[in-house]
Formats: sequence, C-alpha cells, structure tokens
Amino acid sequence: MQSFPLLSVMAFFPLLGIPVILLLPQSKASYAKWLGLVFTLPSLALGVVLYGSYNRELAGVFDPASFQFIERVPWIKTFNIEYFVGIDGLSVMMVLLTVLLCTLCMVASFSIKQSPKGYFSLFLLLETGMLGVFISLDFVLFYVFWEVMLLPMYFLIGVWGGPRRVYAAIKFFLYTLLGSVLMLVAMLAFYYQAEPHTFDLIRLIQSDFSGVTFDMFGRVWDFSRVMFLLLFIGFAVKVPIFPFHTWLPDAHVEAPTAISVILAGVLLKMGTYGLMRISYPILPESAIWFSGALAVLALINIVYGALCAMAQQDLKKMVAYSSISHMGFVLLGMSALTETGMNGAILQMFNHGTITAMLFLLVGVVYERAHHRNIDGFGGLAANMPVYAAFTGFAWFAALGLPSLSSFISELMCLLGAFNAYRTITIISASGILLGAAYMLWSYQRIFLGPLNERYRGLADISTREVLSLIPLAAIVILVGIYPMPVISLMQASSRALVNLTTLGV
Amino acid sequence: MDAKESLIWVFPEIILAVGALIVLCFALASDRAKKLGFGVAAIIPLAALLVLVARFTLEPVRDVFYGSLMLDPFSQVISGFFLVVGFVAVIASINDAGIQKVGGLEYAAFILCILCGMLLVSKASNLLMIYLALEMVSVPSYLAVAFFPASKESQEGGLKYVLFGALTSGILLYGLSLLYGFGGTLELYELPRALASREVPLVGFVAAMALVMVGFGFKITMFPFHAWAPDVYQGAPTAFTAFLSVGPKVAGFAVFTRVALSFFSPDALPQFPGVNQGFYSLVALLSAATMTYGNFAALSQDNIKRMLAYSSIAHAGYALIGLAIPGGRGIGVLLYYLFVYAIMNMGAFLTVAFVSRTRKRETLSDYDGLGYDMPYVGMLLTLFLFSLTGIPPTVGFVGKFALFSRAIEGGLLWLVLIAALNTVVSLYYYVKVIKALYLGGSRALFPAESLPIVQSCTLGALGALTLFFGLFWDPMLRLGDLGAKIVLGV
Repeated sequence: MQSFPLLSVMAFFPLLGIPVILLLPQSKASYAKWLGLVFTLPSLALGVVLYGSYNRELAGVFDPASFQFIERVPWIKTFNIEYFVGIDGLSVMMVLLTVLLCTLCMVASFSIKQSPKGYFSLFLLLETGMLGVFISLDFVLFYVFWEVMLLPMYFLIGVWGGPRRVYAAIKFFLYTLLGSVLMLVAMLAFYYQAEPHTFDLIRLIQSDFSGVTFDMFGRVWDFSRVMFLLLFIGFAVKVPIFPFHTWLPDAHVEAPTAISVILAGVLLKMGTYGLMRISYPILPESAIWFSGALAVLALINIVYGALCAMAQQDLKKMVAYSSISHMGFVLLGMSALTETGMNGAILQMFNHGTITAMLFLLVGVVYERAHHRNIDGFGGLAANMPVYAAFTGFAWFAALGLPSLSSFISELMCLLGAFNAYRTITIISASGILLGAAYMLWSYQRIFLGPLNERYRGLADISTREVLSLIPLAAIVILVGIYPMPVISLMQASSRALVNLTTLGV
Repeated sequence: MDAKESLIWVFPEIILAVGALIVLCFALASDRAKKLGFGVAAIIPLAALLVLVARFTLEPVRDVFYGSLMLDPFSQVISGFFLVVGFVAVIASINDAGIQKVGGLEYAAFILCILCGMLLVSKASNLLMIYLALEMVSVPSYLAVAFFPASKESQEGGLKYVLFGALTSGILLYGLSLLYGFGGTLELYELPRALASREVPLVGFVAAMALVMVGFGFKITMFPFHAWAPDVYQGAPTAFTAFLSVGPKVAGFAVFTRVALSFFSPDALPQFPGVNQGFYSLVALLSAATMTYGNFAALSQDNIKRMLAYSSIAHAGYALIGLAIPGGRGIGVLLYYLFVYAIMNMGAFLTVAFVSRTRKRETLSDYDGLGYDMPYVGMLLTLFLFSLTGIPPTVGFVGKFALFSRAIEGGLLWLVLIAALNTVVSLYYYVKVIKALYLGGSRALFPAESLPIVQSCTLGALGALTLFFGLFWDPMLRLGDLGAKIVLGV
C-alpha cells in the first residue's frame, strides 16, 4: 500500500475535474454538478481506505518514522524545499472531515443555477487546497496550499454569495492575507534560524529555538516569543479568535450554503490545526508561556460568541457566532496542555465540523424556500414541515451538547482537561454550554413552535436530496456520541506525543 | 583594449543601432514592405540576444573601449533580460492600432534605440559613459511617451517626462562631475581608491552621492522622486508604458546597483567609516517609504493605468529591499525580483492596453463584467494581478519569498514586516479590478472582441511563465544568482 501515493491522489484528483468541467459546452453546463460530484467521490473513497488502513499506534508529530503515507520528492533545490506529505493523528481526522464535507457539499450545491461551470471548478480547486494544507509536512508547501485556498474562496463568496457578498469576500480575503503574510515572515525566520536551513516541519521541531534573541528597532527581542506571536495572529484570524473574528459573521452569512459549510466545517479548523502542527511543537516553551493568555482568549470566544449568537435576528448569523463559541472550546482544550484536553480539542474540531455543517445546511433549506432567515419571521413551521423540524431539532440538540450526541463528549473532554490548569476560567467557560442551550432552544421555539405563520403554509418539506446530505452527518454525530473510542483512538497517540513534547520536551 | 578590439564585445549594441536605422528605412517604403519591416524589428532583439548568449563569458572583460564598458555576468544577464523585454515590446506594438496609425515602425525604431542605450547602461563603468547611456535611454523615451500627437494626456505626459528628466539628469551630471572633481578620474572602479588617496571632505562626498542618487531615484521611481510616473504612465501609449515600467526602470536599478556597490562595498572607503552603514540604512528607509507611498496612493485610483503606475512605484520599493541588504548580498534576489516584476507587470499593462483599445476608456467601471465577456483576457489579467499581489502559485509570490528570505538573513526583519503588511494593502486595490471583472453588477455593455493572434500568444506566454516559474523556482533563481556576480574594483 505504501507505494501507492494515496495522499497525493486524494488531494489532486479533484483538480483533474477542472479542465473537464471547463470544456463542457455551454448548453451542457448543468452537467457540471455531476462532474463535480464524480471528481469528489474518489477522494472520499480513498478517505475510507485511509480510515481502514491507518495505524493507530503510531504517534507522528515529531518523529519522521511514525508518520504514515509519507511521500517525499525534492521540489525547489535552491531553498531545499520538498514536496513532503504525510499524516499523523493530528491530521487524519481533518483529512477525513474534509473529504466527507466536500462530498456532501457537492450534493448540497446541486441547486446552484448561476454559472455552474465556474462554481464547481472553483469548488474542486478549494478541495485540493484544503486537503493540501492538512497533509503538508513542509512549511512552504503548507503555506502554498493555505494561500491557494483563498482564491476560490474569494470568488465563491464574491460571485455566488448573498446581497453583501462583495464586501464580505474582500474582508475575508484581506483578513486572511494579513494573517498569512505574518506567517510567511515567521516561516522565513525559522528557515534561517534552523541549522541546517530547512522548511521541513519535523526538522524545525527538532531544532531548538529557545533563548535565541535578535535586534530590531534598537531593542533585543526573544526570537521564539516574537515568532509565536506572528504565527498566532496568522492562525487566530482563521479560527477566528477574538478580536480577529469580525470577518466571520460577514463571510458566513453572505456565502452560499455549501460554502458556509466548508468555511465553518473545514477552514476554521485550519487555524487550530496550525497551532497544533506548527506553533506548539516548534515553539513549545512559548506555547507554555502563552497558554494562560490562550485560555483567557478561549473564554472570551466561548462566552462572547454565545452572547452574540443570542442577540442575532438572522438565523445564519446566529449559527456563525455559535461557531466562534464552539471553537473557543477547542482553544480551551489545547491551552491546558493535557492529554485529555488535547484529545478533546481535536475531537471537538471534528464534531464541530460535522454539527455546524448540519446547522448551515438546515438554514440553507429554509432560506431557499422562504428567501429570508429572520428568526422572528417564521413561527409554527413544525406543523408544516415535520421532517425538517425533526432534523433541525436533532442538529440543534447536537450543537448545544446533549449527552449521547458527539459534541457533549468533546466539550466535556475540553473542560475536564482544562479544569486542573485553569479552574476559574473553566468554570466560567462551562456557562457557554448553558448559553448555547439558551440561544439554540430559544431560536427553535421561535421558528418551529407556536401558531403557524400563514404566509408559510405552502412551504414544501425537506427534499430527499437534502436529507441525503444530512443523514451521514447525523449518523456520525450519534455514533461518536455513543461510542467515541474508534475516533479517539485515531488521535490518542499523537496528542499524547504532542503534549509530552510541549511540556516535557520528549 | 583599443577601439578595434573592443568592437567585438559590443556586437549586440551594434546590431540594435544598425537595426534601428534599417527599420526607419522601412518606414519610408510601401505598405507591403512595412509588414516586412515589423518582422525585421522583431528579429533584431532576438539576433542581438543570440550573439550575447553565444559570446557569454563568466570571465569579466574589463576594459572595453579603454575601460568605459565592463562585461561581467551582471551586465550580460541584465542585457539578455533587456533584449527579451524589448522583443516583447516590439511584438506588442504590432497589433496596437493606435500606435500603428501614427507610425508603427518609427515606434519600433525608438524601442530599438532605447534597448541599445539600456544595454550600454548595464555595462557602463565610467562616469561619462553612465551619463551618456542614460541619456540614450531617456531621449527616445520622451518621444515615445508623446507619441500620440492628438492626445492631450500623451502630450502632457511627454512634456512632464522631458521636464523632470532634464532636471534630474542635470542633477545627476552635477553629482558625477563633483565625484570627478574630488577623485580626478572618470573610471568608476578607480574612484574609491582615488578618493581615499586624496583628502576629500565627507560632506563633499555625501553631497555628490546624494545628487547621484536623485538622478537614479528618478529612473527607478524611488520616493520622493516618483512624482512624474503616474502622469507619464497614464499618458503614454499603454504598450509603451508596459515597456517603460520595466525596461528603463530596470536599467536604472542596474546602474544604481553598480555605482552603489563600488562605493559601498565593505572596504571601499576606509576613510569614511560610518558611511557604508548609513547608505544601506538610507536605502532601507527609502524602500519602506517607496512601497508604502505607492500602495497607499494606488488605493484611491480610479484609472487603471494610474493605479498600475502607483503599483509599479510600490514594486520599485520592494525591489529596493534587495539593494538595502548590506554588502551586496541581495543582488541575486534583486535581479530575480526584477525579472519577476517584468513578467507580471508587462502582462498586466499589455492586457490593459488591449482592453483600453477595445473599450476606449480605462476607468475601473469600464472593466465591469469583462471576465464574462472576454474570459481569456479576464483570466489572464486576474492571474497577473494575483501575481503582483504575491499569491502562490504565481511567480510574484516566489519573488517576494526570495526577497524577504534574503532580507531576513541580512537582518532586515523590520523591513520585511513592513513589506509584508504592504502586500495586504496592495491586495485591496488589485482585487478592486478583479471585483470589476467578475463581481461587477452590470455587464455586456461592449461587444466582445477577440484578441489578435500575436497579442493572444504574447499574453498567453507571459501568463504561462507566471505560473511555470511560480511552480518551478530554480531556473530563474539560478539566473539571478549568476547575474549577482558583479565585478567591483580593478
């Protein structure tokens, strides 16, 4: 199996679809969606193979021998850059999440009528970019994929989005580029600081940057702290961490449904993934130094995001702010630097990806029918759309962390992991779950319960295609909620290694 | 080396000069012969390039024409680069209806004359030669900018260019003559030693260098000597703007580099200990000012040519980072960045040239929906603009990557941070164009026009290079490092 370049095929197969779609004659443009799906499915199939053949004993993180599905080819000799990909427990969940959500979002995008050829080509490019980020083990490769992803995202929001799409798209682009150029500076600084010069992430992890200083503006600065901060801003924009979050509500609200799903389901995780893959292992000492601040930021994300969500009139905006709140748990779990917390953080990334995907898909369902998303503008929809109400109820309960559904487990693990390290912060953070229940249930009540709003008597219930895109997610939410071990075992070895590397240096 | 022996080393220049005259003769001939004339005009730079490559020598040839020209890898690589740029410029004018109406072959002859001057600039190692070669670039440029007699902008741009150009070349000449007065020699490489052997006051030397820098700063649109660029770039025929923003500007960089390094290499002027450090700090500051000014001024532009003019000021600022790295360690990446800049900037300007010809105007709103009406042009312009921003996998990213990395190695982290933030600012105005192309509300106001075949191939080739060198970095980086072998001192 090792000789077959599984990861490359998985990441680059979608690209092959782009010329095929672009060559479609204009009269056959509606076939673009089928081609889009056809070129996504092989990656999903490879994802299943990957899940089956992944060795759960191997840790990865800093040990090149225990990464899996490694491919390594020299790329740019002048800078010693390699095409170096491989996965470990930190990335395997994210890769699986990406191929799953991309396939489901292709299905959910079938209703796109405006220039479908462009839409599905860009979507396929986006998938390649996202997978590339999660499998890269060379910093430059990582950065290239990270940036390549921005272009399709800009167009997908800007062309196919809602009324304020142009504003939202440029705001997203500017914020993210700001983050990435700071990351670029840090990346180059690492390269010259490491001996021998390298962009290989694993070799960078093995280099010791503690105690290095440099002069700038007539002052002496600590290399590792400054670089940690530069990287942190880069990743914080993506997560997003308060106060870099303001692009998120705009982008998520204006993006078309499937793209909102991708944004919330996959892109946000890249921020926390970057912290785990790059910041923590390369700069462990600064990670510890910074962890208190990170816990405070996590708290702000959880509570502030939840309070904002509660105040929203627009259903999609509420879901967008709930993402900020839920990503706060990931940060909290990470900041504690315990194995439970780290496991919880990775699991929460996965669970948030599946659950928030359901939320956005469900919001998209009602928006396509009613053409507005005002929470108070509905009322009593349960009478008219019973199946839709049931699915929404399920997703809403999953989001608020009902026991036996997946996010309960991961949020609990994050809180448990952080409890000993930051008692006060953890206790206040737990109120985020309460607030989550409040805004979720309150919005559900306003939309589905009470007397039926006569204007919406004629709304059709959820269609089979829409149900099909929800069922796999719902199944995962239940399975992980009842029996999480198969998933946790995927990442356990790696998160233990990451925590030990950061705190003990081994 | 006497004149007879020297001739063989300036064969490319001779080809260009004679070629320009031949092309001018074709301009007097019948219409059919004129077509042939264009063929000749396009072949001349290629022929010169062939000779240059065939005679390429790693071993420097120092005393061509009694030491007024210097052939080292630096000058030869840059000369080759100029010839490629010149070839593209001639080709681009063939389909330019505006230029053809006024007189296409005269225009091509101008380009060849400017090319000849640029080649001499890259080799000049004598103060007088530097001045003469720069004038040889400038005078035909003035004419080419004012090439449209009926256009007010073209005339205004031409006049501004002449006035600014004359003033700054006067200042440059003043500086050069001060240096000659202090040192007693015109030879660039003997000057530092000559200055050391005489008791030259520090103030005098600094004043002379400052005057010289004004002259070069004008050529490379360095802040605060950039003010002419937007008007000139806007007024000139767009195809010529594409050439002007790349050719003469890079020629300015070449001569600036050679002069700067000969005076400010580590042990050139032992009698002025602080001057070395001071120079590189000054260039770093000017670099930061140039890129920041260019980017912020571009933000509010509504005319796309003006916007690209400010953008090319900003890019001069980025390129200056290469010169600000002390001790000449940044020359390789400076050259590399200039190559990269040439590909993407010529691409952008030539695309704009085509669009403004079909749409007659060049404000941003004229680009609304262009991406749908002319998909090929829209895609290429998008590619060039993303490359100018510096987003992978385009060559513009590699350029920034190489520059930033060498600057960080040279300890200029603060400058890199400023440049990185500038990139974000620049994204805003580049994306304004892309927004008009694809996200604009109105569309299909203009009939779609297909690109003439030559144009479409030229632009396609530039676009392909933008992507190819964005994915395969090594060949051009090596070329830049080869060109970094610059000969200093005797």
